[in-house]
Amino acid sequence: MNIFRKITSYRESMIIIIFLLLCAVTTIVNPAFIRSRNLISIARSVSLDLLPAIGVTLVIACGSMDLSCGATLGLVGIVFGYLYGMQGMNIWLAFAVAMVVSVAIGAVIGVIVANLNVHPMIVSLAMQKVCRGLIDVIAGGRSMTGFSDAFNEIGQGTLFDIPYTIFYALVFLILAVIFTKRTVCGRIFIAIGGNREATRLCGINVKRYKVVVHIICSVLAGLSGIMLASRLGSAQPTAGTSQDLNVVAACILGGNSLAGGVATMVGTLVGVAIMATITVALTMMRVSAYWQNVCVGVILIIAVCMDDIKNMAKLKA
Amino acid sequence: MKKILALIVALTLVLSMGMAFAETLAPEDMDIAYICTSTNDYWTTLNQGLNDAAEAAGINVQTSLVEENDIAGAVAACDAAIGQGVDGIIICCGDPAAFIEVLNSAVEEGIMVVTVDQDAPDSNRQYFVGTSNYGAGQQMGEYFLSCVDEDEEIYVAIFAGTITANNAVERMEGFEDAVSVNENIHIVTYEQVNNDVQITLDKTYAVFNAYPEVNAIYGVFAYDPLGAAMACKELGRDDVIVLGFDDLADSIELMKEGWIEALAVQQPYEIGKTAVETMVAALQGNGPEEGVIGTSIKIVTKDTVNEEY
Amino acid sequence: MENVVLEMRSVTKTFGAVKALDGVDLKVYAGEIHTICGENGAGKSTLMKVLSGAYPHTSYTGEIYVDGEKCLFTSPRDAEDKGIAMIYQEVNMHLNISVAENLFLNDWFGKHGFVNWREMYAEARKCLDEIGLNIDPRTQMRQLSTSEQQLVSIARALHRDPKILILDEPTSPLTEVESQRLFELILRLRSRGVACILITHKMHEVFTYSDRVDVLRDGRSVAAHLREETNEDEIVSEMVGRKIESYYPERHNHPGDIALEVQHAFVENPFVAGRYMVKDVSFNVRKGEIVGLAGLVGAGRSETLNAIFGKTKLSSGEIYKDGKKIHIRSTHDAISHRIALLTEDRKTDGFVPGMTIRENLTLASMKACSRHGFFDAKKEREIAEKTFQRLNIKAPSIEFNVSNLSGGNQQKVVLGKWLSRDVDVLFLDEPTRGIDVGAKTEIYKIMADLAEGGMAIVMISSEMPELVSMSDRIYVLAEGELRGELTGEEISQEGIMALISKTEG
Repeated sequence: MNIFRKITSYRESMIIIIFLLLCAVTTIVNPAFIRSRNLISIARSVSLDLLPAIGVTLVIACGSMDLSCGATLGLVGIVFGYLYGMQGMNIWLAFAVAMVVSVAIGAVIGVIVANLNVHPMIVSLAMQKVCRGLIDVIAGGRSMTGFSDAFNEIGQGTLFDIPYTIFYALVFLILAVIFTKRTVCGRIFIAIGGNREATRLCGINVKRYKVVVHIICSVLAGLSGIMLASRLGSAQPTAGTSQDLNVVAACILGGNSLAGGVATMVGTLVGVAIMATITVALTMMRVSAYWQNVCVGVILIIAVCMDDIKNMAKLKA
Repeated sequence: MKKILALIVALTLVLSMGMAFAETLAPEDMDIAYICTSTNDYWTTLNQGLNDAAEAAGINVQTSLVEENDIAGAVAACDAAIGQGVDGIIICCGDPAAFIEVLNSAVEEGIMVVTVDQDAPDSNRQYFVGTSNYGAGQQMGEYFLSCVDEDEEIYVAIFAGTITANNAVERMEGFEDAVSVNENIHIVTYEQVNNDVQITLDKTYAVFNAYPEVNAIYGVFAYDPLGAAMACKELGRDDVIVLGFDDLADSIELMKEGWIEALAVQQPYEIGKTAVETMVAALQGNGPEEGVIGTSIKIVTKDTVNEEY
Repeated sequence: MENVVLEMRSVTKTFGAVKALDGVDLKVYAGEIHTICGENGAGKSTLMKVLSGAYPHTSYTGEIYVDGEKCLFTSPRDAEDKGIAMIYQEVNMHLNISVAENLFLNDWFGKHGFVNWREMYAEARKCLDEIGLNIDPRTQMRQLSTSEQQLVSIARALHRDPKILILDEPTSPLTEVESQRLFELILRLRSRGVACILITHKMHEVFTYSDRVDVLRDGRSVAAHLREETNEDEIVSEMVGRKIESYYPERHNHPGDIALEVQHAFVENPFVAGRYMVKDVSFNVRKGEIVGLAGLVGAGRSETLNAIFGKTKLSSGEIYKDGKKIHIRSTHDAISHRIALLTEDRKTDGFVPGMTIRENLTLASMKACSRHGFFDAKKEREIAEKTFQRLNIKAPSIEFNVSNLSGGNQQKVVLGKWLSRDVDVLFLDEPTRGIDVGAKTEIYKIMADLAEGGMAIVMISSEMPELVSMSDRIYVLAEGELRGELTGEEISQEGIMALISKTEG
């Protein structure tokens, strides 16, 4: 019980309860929901979104914002797919180049956000456009194929019927929790989000940390792009289009505050799980993808309002 | 004694028939997922055929509409269908490689998979229903030969909505093989046009600029000849021969005005209908032998268009 | 003659398991100045929040009668409609809009959704003149100092012509001169028949101006006196529940070598080029010494210390630490030279609100309690506990969230953040602002102990008695310039005022 208390808090227990309620309701409506195969399907969907979500959680906690994680994952996947799949480059070299691209994206966003007075939403939105454009330039609308079976196995393989991607996601989740709770760098990110000036006055180079957090976020997004390419056996130019906003929604849903200063990885996990479950639940009810988008938009609005109410309550007290 | 024996035989027969029945699925109990990834006229017709056949057979088809070109989304929807434990999946594979894993996974779970219109031939899917693409390409190629003079130098630009899609590749191959007998026909370029009229139109302008010698355009997906013909009309290039696939209303209009030479008309209704019929039969143990079920095309030309439409 | 304009009976409010108010009674008469005294956590703010409608009537038991009429408030608007206006201790104004807009936040002038700006600014000018604040109503709130913002919030409340005006520690961000002006205003209101409820712990205010004094302790009404029937010692004892020895600690002054010397410091105004907020200020502080910086609001005291610490840019000037010239380009440099700054407004840049006491206490010493980037939980707890005990921070544990602490304890946490590491020179900007009597004494004692241990302390304070009692030397600043230095016998309120009002010549 103590461990449970330690890794969660009141804020997190609330969202976990909401998630369990959602599962219960969906199961009542359609008992097929709790089939293990279905749960695995949801878990797999969660595992693909969790990496960028972790990155965005850190960015939001630091008081910044990133609306380009989907475009980043798409671009990095395409770059990797192009070099390794289409051009036959050595896979490790292609991976290295892909990672350099991720770092570059994060660095550009970070440097602009940290040093100029431009709102991170604008910067990352612009970056989103740039990345999507670059995808078209490199791929011209085609998918990048030509991966080896061994590589595809990374994203498609299963152990006891559980996809590998779920294990990777779990590892990253644990690392993320440790990072936010037990490392100095993690705490600094949260402190900057909580009170930037107070943190700066402690002699901490806030600008540098802002750049770093954006780099971390883009790298995580890039990794997930490669993982998705492995899952599909090809790098798709349309990959990640829904992630940009869905991931942010999931983070806020999970209890992270847009104002910064909060980093709950468990909450993010639950937020991502809720988004995935809602998508499946809606599919089970034969709702088209376009209406699902409307639904996600509405949820995002509700989540942001709830977050705002929480922040106002804090100010009053 | 004989009576008892007869009774036993009769009973066994009845029982085994009953068991055979129990093994195969009754139509009312069939739960089919259809993952639809496009919304243009062609697909509307296909869906019509599919739904009509479903109604006639009395089965329940759950349609998931995925965003245009969202391959990852389609794969995820397919995975979700597997998760729900459906009996069969009908799906169009926008990318031949991306769906292999998820379709194999479906087959492993005992689900019947029928791909429509675009196939994933390297997967373990049981059936594919769609236009015999290579054959169609060949037919178009042969018709094209009849349109041109033997000594005329012909420079062809080939457009494909999704250049890597399986059916695109086959339609291009069939065409090229057929026209290869004429040495004066040269394929100058291949362009991907994203199934978008505006993009196709812009690409046509670009091609004319980059390759001014082009005097024929062959488009393998629905919007490809349409966009190309619109560009020709805007530019007044009536010297360019445009031919391609699918009888979209706008394409027919342009053909009546003389901007399109010939169109290979697929039978989307038939495809949809056949897909469902194949699915039902397969689930009852009576599936056809051949995994690939081709439907035919009709060629509509400038001359025949006014009768047909 | 005297009619009861406000009566609160048996008000009880609990927050979870904590009883913030336990059967509190209050009787306020029209046209009087009524003071409420109490330590932090005594319930004064909670009582006033109940009265001002910040807490709806459903969240507490007890009754409120205004002019004999029972009132059930569901929101501050209800209380405002009944003639109750509240000035909060922490400024809660909208910083991004102008003064005039803030003044008339809920009833802008104009018809059909269009604002009559001219009329609004004219009216704003009148309100500001009434309280004696000479600023342009079009100024953005953000550009005003904390003190000026406080005055605007008072003007806003007065605009509504209230029957009862509640002021929660109103003079804490104000200087002597401004406080005096405020009280003149309050006296004027009193003669108009307005009842003014004043929450303060400045004894001289209590005994100079109030008609009645109530004392709260631990959520209960402990005493209600007529001012002439009581005295300072009695009040303080009732507040604390025990006899207070001495307010200011005894100082044994053994100043050592010069720890920090600043020569010819200039700080340019970041908004207006060519204008300087600090012009040619030089001072020094010795080890074991407490040096005070006196002056009016806007004199340039905070600006000087902020620039030296690296919080803002020092336009020119030399800094010598322990005799050696040093360059401070950022807060990091300052801290590595063992200089620390406690800023004027702890909420804006003192502590991180979402974090625990422990995390805040170790915020400036994370390297010391970590290894290879990972926290050593045990070491961190040790360091935090030590400071927690040393400063006598009142909270259930170090895992408590700092946002939930009282102002005084929050200030201790911010101070503790610096004391958790080695510091030679400590800048304190208004260290006891918004802090109750008990905590103040503790902070004075801590300062004295630190000085005794050899720390060099520079203190900015707008509270004259505090400055005079605690400082070994005082520099007086006015309008960004150094007006003079007072040592030994020269240190007194009159001496400071004299230097401030001295004109160039």
